[in-house]
Amino acid sequence: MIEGPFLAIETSCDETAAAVIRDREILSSIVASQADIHTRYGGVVPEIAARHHLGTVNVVIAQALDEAGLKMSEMTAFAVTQRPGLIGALLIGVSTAKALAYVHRRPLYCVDHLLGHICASWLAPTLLETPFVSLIASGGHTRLDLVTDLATPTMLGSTIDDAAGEAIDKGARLLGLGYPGGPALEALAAMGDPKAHAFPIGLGGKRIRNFSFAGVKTSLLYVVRAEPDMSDQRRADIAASYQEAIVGPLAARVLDAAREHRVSAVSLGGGVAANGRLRELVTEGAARSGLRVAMPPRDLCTDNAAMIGAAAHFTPRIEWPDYLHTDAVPTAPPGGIAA
Amino acid sequence: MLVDLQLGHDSAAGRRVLDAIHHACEAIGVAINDMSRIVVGVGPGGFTGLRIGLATAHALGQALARPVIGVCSLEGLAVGIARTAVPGDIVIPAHDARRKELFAAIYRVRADGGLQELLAPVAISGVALAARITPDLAGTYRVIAAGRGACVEREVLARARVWIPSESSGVHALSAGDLLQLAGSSPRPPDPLYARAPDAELQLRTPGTGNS
Repeated sequence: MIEGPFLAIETSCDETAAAVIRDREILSSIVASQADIHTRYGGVVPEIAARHHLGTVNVVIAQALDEAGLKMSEMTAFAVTQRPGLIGALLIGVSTAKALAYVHRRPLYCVDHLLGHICASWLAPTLLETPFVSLIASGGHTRLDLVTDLATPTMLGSTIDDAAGEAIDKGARLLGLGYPGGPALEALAAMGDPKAHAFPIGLGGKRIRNFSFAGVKTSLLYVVRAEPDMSDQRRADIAASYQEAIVGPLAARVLDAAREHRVSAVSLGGGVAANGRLRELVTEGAARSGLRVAMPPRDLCTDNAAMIGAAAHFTPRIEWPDYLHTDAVPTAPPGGIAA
Repeated sequence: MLVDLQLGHDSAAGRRVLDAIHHACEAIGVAINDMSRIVVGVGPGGFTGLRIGLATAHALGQALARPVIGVCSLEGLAVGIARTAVPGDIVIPAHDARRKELFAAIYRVRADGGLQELLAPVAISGVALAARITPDLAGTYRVIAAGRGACVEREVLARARVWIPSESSGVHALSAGDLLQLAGSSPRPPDPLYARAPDAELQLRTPGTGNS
């Protein structure tokens, strides 16, 4: 555990975030989203994301310290997302965190973004004890992990093509809902029948832990092309069926994996974990199986720095000034998560 | 006392900047906390290296509660070139911007040795830059270009009667001392000077290639 309050920074994609954490307490958590900026491009543009991180990160840090009522010099350590993510975006956070830690002669924790999503549940008021099975589903990642130790999760499966959130965003765009598509697709799906259209389920079958969303996405493209003048109700039905074809396998596989590995709890993380239908399916299925469910509040599901602070507690400490050579890394390490 | 560490031109050079700052401080026996201000080149230049430098400078300034002062990197290079020139000469600092372009600017050396900006920093092809070197612009004065971009476009610029010193000359490298001089005479906000829009923005502006 990191002693005292420390500052965490997250800039791996299109959210510029900073948080002040003490033990499991979030003293402040500030997120500046670029979603509106990227809407006109239909998705995140790495170069534009990096430009906006640079102009925002120091303001967000100042806000996080101000909200926590603490000074920079009172931080006992600094934590930052080192990997995986957009390299230009990661470099802003890593360069900033290194310089802050260097001036204050404090240690640095270089955190894996995916471990952050897993550890978001660790910030919940009721502590989730290991072991449990974690599902991370976001715009960039979809994976299952067996977590017997928060420092070293074991990957059970991952997507073989699109991430779940990517499929949702692309589906929303095909249905004319814009970017980011998650909340808009969910709102439209709430008006429709999830059984109205049978979309293909990628990699179906028991004991399958990987995911595939390319097929369902292509299938939606064919539907939209075949029915250019669909009614509002038909569009809602298609949205509901499409959402079900994505969140259904997510829910089924995290619950199956929990039963297979005989753990008593599951956790959700990542932006797709904010999806109400996914939360509903997992909650219902877990209740039937006698499993506990840890679901972070929605603002801790999407990218934020509080989860990076949580993961820092389970990340190796780098002493001053040994991190001067430390660099951002765009890729995940073999096997999934760096510790 | 001045320590000037050059990090080289490889793509990862910018990532070593904080390490270089640490070693520069150690070399003269001062701590980073002793700094009264942070001066940073704001470009134009390679986007990634530029942002690492600016993010590092902003964070140092924030942590130290000291001002961060920006200076134009091309103007800094021009200050070095101007030392080899006489009043009236034209100096052209040029970085390699890749994609067959240069980040370049044009200055005239004033009587007091200062610089008068004739062309603000811009991304421009070697041919287009050479076309700007008209007899009216230079008159009887010399036109001197330096920087890695000038070396890349040596033949094109030479045809426009531009003198590019030998590649072994130190005039092609931006010096920390010149940046510090500019911080006093020509400070700018510490914001990046990209001189080139992101590709996605260019595609949106081009009919038929943007996102629908």
